[in-house]
Amino acid sequence: MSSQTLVMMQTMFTPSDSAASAGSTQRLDLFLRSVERQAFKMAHYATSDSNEALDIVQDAMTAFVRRYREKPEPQWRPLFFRSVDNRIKDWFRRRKVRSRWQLFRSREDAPDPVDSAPAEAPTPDAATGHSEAGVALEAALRALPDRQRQAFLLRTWQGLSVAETARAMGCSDGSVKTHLSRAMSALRNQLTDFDPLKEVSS
Amino acid sequence: MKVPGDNQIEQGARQILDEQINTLDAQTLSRLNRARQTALDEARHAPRARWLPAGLLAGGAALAITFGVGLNSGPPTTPLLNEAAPELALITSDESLDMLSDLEFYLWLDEVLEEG
Repeated sequence: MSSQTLVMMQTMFTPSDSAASAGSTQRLDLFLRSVERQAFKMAHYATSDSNEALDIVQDAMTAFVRRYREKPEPQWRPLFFRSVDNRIKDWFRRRKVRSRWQLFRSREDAPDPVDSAPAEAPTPDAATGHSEAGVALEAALRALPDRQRQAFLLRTWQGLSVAETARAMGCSDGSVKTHLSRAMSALRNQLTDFDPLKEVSS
Repeated sequence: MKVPGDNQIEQGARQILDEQINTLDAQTLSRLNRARQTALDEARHAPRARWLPAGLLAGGAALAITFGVGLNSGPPTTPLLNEAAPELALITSDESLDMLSDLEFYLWLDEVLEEG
């Protein structure tokens, strides 16, 4: 490489660029801090396993940084949750393949009770802060089909618009509305006498 | 038995879920922190894609300038280029390419004419 090229490259990567890069990393850090717990909670609802949920969040963060960090910041939130949603879908696909394989093997060998044991029993008390409404909500959300729960969490909890939720879930606006409507209907039926505000005030 | 309204479910869910994520255990928080640091390392070490076209453009321009100056600075001085000059002149001339079949003859003729 000629000296002219070297000089030009050095000129391009001035200290102001490294400062800008540090600023960008700092913004990414702040953003990831603001969404990591929510992402973990969503992944935990899907998997009922802390380790699996943490792996999903880790993969989603790395994928987000690789693919979307150059996108405008207002788009980060739906794009990050899209990464999370994709990893959750992948997890379900892998689990389906694994259970098929286990079914195939169970025809040849005697079933191993360790394989069939749940990875981690849900601990509602620890997860919900011991509130009755929290336990009820936890159970109701876990009972929802995955897409309905995801639509509810993204739209209601994360406050994404219908279009942003659709982008995060990789589906149409209409599908989001349908998932959300069914989720609300199921939650209404399951959460009778649900009033967390009353518990707080009493 | 009282069926809650949509607004009540939404507000209650937001409140409970926010409480839950604020009371995550230390081990989970520590692992989330590590996951974030790993992802940020990726951002620190991976080159920013927007520099790539500019870098390639600048490098290409520098090479073009370097070679352009080099080629215009005078006739070729390396022995190899000097030896190949007659053949290059023949090939690039407008004359008929039939003479290439008797290239050796024409090179000999050229030498004889120069000596004479």
